[in-house]
Amino acid sequence: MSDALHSARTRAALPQRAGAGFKPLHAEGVFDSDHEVSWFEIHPENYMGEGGPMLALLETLRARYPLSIHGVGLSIGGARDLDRAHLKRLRGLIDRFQPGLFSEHLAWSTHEDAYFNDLLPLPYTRQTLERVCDHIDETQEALGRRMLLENPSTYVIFETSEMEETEFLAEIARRTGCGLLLDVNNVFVSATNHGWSAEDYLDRFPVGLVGEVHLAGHKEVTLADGARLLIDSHDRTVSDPVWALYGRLLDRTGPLPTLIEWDADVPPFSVLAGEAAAANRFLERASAEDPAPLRLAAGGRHG
Amino acid sequence: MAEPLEQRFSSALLDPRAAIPAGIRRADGGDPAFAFAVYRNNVAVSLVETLAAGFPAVRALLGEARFKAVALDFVRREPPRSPVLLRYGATFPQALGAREDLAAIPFLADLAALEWARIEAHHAADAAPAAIADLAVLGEAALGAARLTLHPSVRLVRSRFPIVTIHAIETGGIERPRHRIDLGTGQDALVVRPGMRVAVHPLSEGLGAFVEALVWGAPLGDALEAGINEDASFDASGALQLVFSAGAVEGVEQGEQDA
Repeated sequence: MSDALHSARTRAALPQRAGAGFKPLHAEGVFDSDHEVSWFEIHPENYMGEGGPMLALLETLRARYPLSIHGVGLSIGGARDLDRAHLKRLRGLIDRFQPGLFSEHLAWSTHEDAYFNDLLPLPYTRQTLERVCDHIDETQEALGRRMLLENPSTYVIFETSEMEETEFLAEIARRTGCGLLLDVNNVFVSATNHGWSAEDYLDRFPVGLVGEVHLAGHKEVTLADGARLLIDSHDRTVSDPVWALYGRLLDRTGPLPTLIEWDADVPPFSVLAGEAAAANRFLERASAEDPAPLRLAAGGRHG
Repeated sequence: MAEPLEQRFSSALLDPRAAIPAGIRRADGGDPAFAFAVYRNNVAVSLVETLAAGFPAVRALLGEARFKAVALDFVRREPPRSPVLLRYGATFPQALGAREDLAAIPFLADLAALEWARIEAHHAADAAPAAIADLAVLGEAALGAARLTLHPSVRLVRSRFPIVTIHAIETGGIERPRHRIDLGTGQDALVVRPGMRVAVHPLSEGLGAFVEALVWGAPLGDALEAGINEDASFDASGALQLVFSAGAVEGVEQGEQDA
């Protein structure tokens, strides 16, 4: 086999720079302008056709940039068995596009036969812990690589929860060997909604296991009873308190691959590139100041 | 314990009148129903948006508010069965056709079927189209028994209504005519994506029957006959030109020779 070609793709791990969520409507800006976005992330579900322009565009993207594949449809937190056909489709995309990382969410999205297209919350109990670990074992086995699991943003809490979210995530990582994707905006959204301290959450988070960071914008809504709630809307720039938390995180970890997510009311690519440039300033400062003693387990392949 | 919770959560997501699941709360002690509504809204909005993106002509025809109501009703009755949302909406045309409140738009289901065919063609497997010269090598005697393998993106939508014209009007492809268009003229649509762009070719009656026979895998002779049977003025060589120049043929298979 063409070993050199194969390994060149395999080794395209994500740089410790800013990346952005890839939008086909941005193709021109991505390919034809100078910008500070060093890698791109896609939702694999959008590329699960047989052929056509979406996959052709992804080939072009992958030929020029490292790639991260970030699943939204596996329903790892769900009671239902994982969808084997979906795992197979994911494996097909991973084998073809050789992403630097694969990640999914601590959430569920499918129940019985219905797929809800939303990341739904779960209680943190012994029982759900077992289930999530089984699903991650099965995923890592089916995909032949280590995955990262992302902390969610949530709008309700469960009376039955027995563990803190950070404790739950750390235990999953310990049992399954998976890495973690730390979404700093999700931390801020959930902390605000549930009255936690986002700083405490970050300080308790097992940051040595973090292989990727997400940053995004959120919006504030007023509920019918007048209470305020933050929604993880991915429709605007990263807020100042989230940048501050990001800086606090990097002080501990040193630089990490960092994604700018923007999925609704998508602006011109130059706006995403501007957010990426802002993240790169933090990353440059972090790499100048810190030899990253804690960054033990970022990135990489399973086994 | 977790399963019933998920069950209740799921039911309440799709049914706005259902009680919210027990066991959830808000940290501020407020009514969790208002926070749960965020999830309900996310599900509804994102799936309605998926349909809106796939069915722009239906959306333009119905108007924003009516489309949203109709799409939301469909989402609640027939939520996606797969996380691959590019496959969601296959049964939306039938659901539209079954609605009595939309019966005044008799072509709506066919228009939606054309939009679904475009979605399928968009994501179909890639293949290089064959050239009409590939037929010539068979020799005239073998033509009737030959079979054309159609391009994987080929979809045929047959309609009693001028759906290709209506689609072009509603999606801004052609200018809206000053006069009502004649709804009595049927159009069959050949949808195909020979390269990276989906094309829609309106077919006259005989051509529709011809392509339909090809879709079913009929030998070329039988397919041409189907065209002639439906339209006495059917032009066989024009029909062959059309399917090849549209890029709708992937290959030519020699048929079994008559004994």
